[in-house]
Amino acid sequence: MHDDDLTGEALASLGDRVVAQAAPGEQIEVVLVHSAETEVRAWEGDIESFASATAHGVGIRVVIDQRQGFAHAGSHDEAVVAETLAAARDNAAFGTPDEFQGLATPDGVAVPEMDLYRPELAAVDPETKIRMALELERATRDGDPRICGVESADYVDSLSVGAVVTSTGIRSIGRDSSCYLSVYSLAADGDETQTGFGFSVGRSVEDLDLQQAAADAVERAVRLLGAGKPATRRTTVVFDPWVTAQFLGIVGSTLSGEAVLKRRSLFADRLGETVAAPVFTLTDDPTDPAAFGAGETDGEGLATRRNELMTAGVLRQFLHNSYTGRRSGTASTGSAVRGYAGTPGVGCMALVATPGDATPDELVAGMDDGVLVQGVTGLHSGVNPVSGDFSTGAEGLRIRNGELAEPIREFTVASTLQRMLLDVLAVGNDLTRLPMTAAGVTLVVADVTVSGE
Amino acid sequence: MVRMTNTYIANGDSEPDDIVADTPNGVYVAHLGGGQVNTATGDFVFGMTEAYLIEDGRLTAPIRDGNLIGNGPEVLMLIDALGNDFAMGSPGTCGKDGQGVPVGDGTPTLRVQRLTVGGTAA
Repeated sequence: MHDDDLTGEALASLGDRVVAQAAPGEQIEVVLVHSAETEVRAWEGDIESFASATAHGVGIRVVIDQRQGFAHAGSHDEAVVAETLAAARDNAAFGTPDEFQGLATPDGVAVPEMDLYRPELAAVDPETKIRMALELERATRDGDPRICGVESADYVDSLSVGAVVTSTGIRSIGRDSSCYLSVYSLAADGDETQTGFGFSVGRSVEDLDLQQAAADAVERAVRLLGAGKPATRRTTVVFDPWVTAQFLGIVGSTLSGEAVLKRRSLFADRLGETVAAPVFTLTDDPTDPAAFGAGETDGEGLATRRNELMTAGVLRQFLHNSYTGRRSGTASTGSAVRGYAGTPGVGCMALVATPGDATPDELVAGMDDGVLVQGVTGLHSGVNPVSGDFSTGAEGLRIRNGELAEPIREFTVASTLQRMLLDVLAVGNDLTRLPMTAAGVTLVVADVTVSGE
Repeated sequence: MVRMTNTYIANGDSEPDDIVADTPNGVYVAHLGGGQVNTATGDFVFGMTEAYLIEDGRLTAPIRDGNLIGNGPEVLMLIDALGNDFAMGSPGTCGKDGQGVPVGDGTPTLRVQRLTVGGTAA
């Protein structure tokens, strides 16, 4: 990436030239992105694939006479950008008039200053990235004699600079870098095979802990060997941070202003009510620079902000972009999410359940009986975010007399989202950064149906 | 790209109604939603989008939002009845890295002796 792109000023200047063309009564928004991504996958000591891609994207939104038009293109060439503006204007003529249609306007919230971009990541050569993927595979394979293979060992990174400029007075520039290692191991004993994964996430390669990712993948697969089905019962379950992050992602999706407006949120009419246990506080905080989804501005160029969604179990607010905010009689919460190729949606960027004081070991030590869920499968098909019904395949370990005991697999855990939130007994102190919207943390939930034999 | 383009289980000789009538206690799955398979272990999970209890050989109450969980190779060993109503399902696409191959699969009505059904009413 070039030096002028590193500041994003060149992108914003291009945006300035487009929005200057706004006619009276017309609003124009330009989103410009320049990104570079690399993915390396190792297999049996060699490179299975190496992909490197750069993208120059522009998305233009036009609002006129309460109608919205949008067009996008994969180039920053001035002639292409001019064509894209013409297409967006043309599309607006076909739009359905909607009194709430309109761009975001400056709302006075200060943009948080964060150091999310590490120029040194741009300087890492491809050979180094390949070496990390190969070393990740080797460290995983060598981690235990029962590891019989590595299903995938990946290094992935992304550098991105973006600008949002509007004729309504918004001019924001954001940039960030991220990288992660991920590995899936295979452990075997006789005919039996188990899988386990490990991750490490950072803003540049120095942040990555390759040995820890490999060790996690080894431990997770090996400790499942010999697993049987548990007896069917209601019991307390402990969600591993990785599982909690997936669970929180689903909870977060029910709190989008769009879901509420469409009457698809199970929490639509419950603002101010107790919907979760007192130990549970849920926040979407993209202003935390340690969060994987951190960002200074949202998809409409407004400052991101810390949005507490549930405070000690009480539902405080929903997330909005400027459209859903206006339509709901409130304001944007700086939660517009989008790529350059689409109009803004609404969503969480950096969800976190406020950690408690106890370590995972201490939480388990307090339980006579229960189940540690270390992985779930079929979550997207097994959870109904409209009704809240929750049923997913799982694997993990039994908890007996305060200790992790025998491995179990091929069972389901079921409850409803509403009940699980109210049944949260404790949140661990082990906040874990994952390449996902939500951060992981150990979560203890009572009275979940575990179905096995 | 190598993919199995046309995978099916051959017809049996039972009447589908007889298979249900011969089942004292079970679940009739009319439609599956999304699912996930761990191809390394063979473990699978599928959501049931339309299913009914079978009681004394008759379909009774509908079941909602439950999951089926099992292991592919083990389930194949547990098939104990095959209907004579073979049909192909809706075609789909299987692929990776931007490549896609049209794929299809088919089966008659079949019965599996035991399978874990997840839900809250267990």
